[in-house]
Amino acid sequence: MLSLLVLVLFVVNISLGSVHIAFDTILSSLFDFNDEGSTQTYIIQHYRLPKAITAILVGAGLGISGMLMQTLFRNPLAGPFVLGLSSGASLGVALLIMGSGLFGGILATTLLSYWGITAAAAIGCFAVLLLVVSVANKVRDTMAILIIGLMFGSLTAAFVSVMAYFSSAEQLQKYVFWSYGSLGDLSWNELALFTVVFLIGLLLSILSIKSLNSLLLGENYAQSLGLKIKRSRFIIIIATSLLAGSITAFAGPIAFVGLAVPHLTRQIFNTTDHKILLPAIALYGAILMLLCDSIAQIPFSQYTLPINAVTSLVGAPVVIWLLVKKRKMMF
Amino acid sequence: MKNPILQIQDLSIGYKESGNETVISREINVDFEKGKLIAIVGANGVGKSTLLRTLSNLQPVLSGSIKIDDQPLDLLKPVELAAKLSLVLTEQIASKNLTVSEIVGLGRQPYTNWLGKLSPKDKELIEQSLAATHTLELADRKCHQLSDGQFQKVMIARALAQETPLIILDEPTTHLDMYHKAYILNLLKNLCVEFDKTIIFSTHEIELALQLSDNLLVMQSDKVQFGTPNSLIETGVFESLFPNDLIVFDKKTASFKVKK
Repeated sequence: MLSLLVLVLFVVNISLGSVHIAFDTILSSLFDFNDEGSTQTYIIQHYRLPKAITAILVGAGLGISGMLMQTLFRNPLAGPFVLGLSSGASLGVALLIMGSGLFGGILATTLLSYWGITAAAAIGCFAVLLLVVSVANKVRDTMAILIIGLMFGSLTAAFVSVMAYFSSAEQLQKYVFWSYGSLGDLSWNELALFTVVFLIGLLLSILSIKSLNSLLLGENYAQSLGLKIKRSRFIIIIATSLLAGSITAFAGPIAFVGLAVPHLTRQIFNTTDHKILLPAIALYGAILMLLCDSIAQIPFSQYTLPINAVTSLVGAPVVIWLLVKKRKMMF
Repeated sequence: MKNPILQIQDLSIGYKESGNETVISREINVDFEKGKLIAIVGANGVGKSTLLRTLSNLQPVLSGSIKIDDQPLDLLKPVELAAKLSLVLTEQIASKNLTVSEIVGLGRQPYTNWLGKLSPKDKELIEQSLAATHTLELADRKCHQLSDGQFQKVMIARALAQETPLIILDEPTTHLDMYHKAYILNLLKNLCVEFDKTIIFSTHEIELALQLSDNLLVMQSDKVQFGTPNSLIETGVFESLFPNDLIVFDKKTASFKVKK
C-alpha cells in the first residue's frame, strides 16, 4: 500500500516542474535511457529523476535518523540534528562562503562551486561527529551526550553569527540560500555517492533494531538483557551521522522531517516495535519529501519555494492535528 | 552448603568516582542456595540497592568476588549473564506505550535472533510467564494503562520469561497497598517453589519478609548478617536495626511496635 503511494508520488513529482512535459514523454524517458534526443527527455533524465530519488533518500534518511535519536535518548523532542551535525555543516559552509574573501581570485571561485560547498558541509559534519563519538566513549550517561550535542550546536551557531556580522550582503544571501536546502542540483555521480553512504547508514540502522527495542525499557534493563550498551550506542550514533550528515552535505539542513515523521508513524501504526517502525518511517519520510517537493514546485507556475520552509508548512499542521485527534503522544 | 547459585566473598561495594572510592559496605561473605526466597533488609542508605546493582553487574565491584553458578561475574559475557540473572528495578521503563506482551517478549532477547524475532517456543514461554503471574488478561494492555500493582506483576513476568535461575528485585513492594505488598511477596514465594528459582529482593517490609522468605540478609552499617527468619530473631539483630526511641521489635509476634 505505502510503497505504491511512494511510486505514484514519485511519478507525480517527476511530472511537475517549471517546464510542462507531456505524460507519455515522461514515461518513455523513464524507461528508455538510450533516447537522449529531446530537451524534455534531458530534463527528466538529468534533472527531475535524480531530484525525485534524492527526495526519497532524504525523506527516508531523515525519518530513520530521527527515530534512532528519539529512542537512544528516550526523548520525543530529539531529531537527527540533536548531535549538532547540521550545525557542524553550517559552520563548514559559513566558513567557506563568508571566509572565501580571504582566498581571493580563482581559488575562491573554485571553492564556492557546488562541490566546494558539499565538501565543506561534509567536513563540518564529520568534525562534529568525531567530537561526539570521542565524548560518547568517555561518558557513561547517554543524556550527557545529548546536552553536549546541543552545546556543540550553540557553539557553532555563535561562530556563524559572528561571521555573518562581518560579511557582505552577497555572502550572507548565498549562505541563507544554502540553509534553505535543495533537493535538486545532484548529478548522477553525486547521487551514486549519496546512495552508497545512505545504504551503509540504513544497514547499520537495521542491525540496531533489536537493541533499539530493548532500549525502550531503559538502559539498565537493556543491559540486563545482554545488550552491550556502549557498542550499540556507538553503532546508532554512526548510523545517524552517516544518514543525517550525507543529507546535510548534499541537500542542506532540512528541518522538521526527522522530528515529525517518527511521531507521525508511531501514531498511525500504534506500535513501538522498531521492526515495523523502521520500514514504515522510511516510507512515510519518502512520501512526505516527495509531497513537499511537489508542492515546492508550485504546479503550473515558474516559481520554486525553498524546500526547508515547505516541509514545516506542510508537516507541522499534520503533526498537530494527529496529536489533538489522538489526544495523546505515542513514544 | 549444597547447591550455591550465588557466592559472595569479601565483597566491598560502593562508588568509584575519579579515583575516589566511597565504600558503603564491606566484608560481605554469603552463599545463596538454589530455590530460596531471600530478602535483603536494612535501614535507608545502608547499601541494599548498591549490593543488588553490584550483583547484577550494573555497578563495578570495589573488591572481593562474586560467582554465579561457579563462574566469576566479571568473566561472563553480557549475553551469558542475561541467561543467568534477570532484573526487576525500581526505575520506570522508557516507553510507556509498550504493551504487556511486548514487555514480557523483550525478556526473550538473550535467546532471539539478530532481529529479535519470537519463535513459537518463545511465545509459549511468554504466555506461561503471564499465566504464572496472573496477568494473562492484561496481555494487550498498554503499559500506561496499568496500576502500580499490575505493572509490578508484568515486570516479574518479564523476568520469568528470561528463564534465569536467579531473579533480583529492587524494592518490588514500594508504592503498593498492604494487600498487594503481601500479594507480590507471596507470588515470589510461589515462583521459587514452582519454577525452582532463586529470588533475591530488597524490601522495607521486614514483618512480611520474616513471614514469607526462607532467608534474610540483614544489612547494618558495621555488619551484615544472614540466616533464617527464626535464627535472626534469636540473635536480636532486629532490636538494633533502628534507633530505639520510637519503635521496638517484639520477638513473640515478630513485628515492630510503636512505643507508647
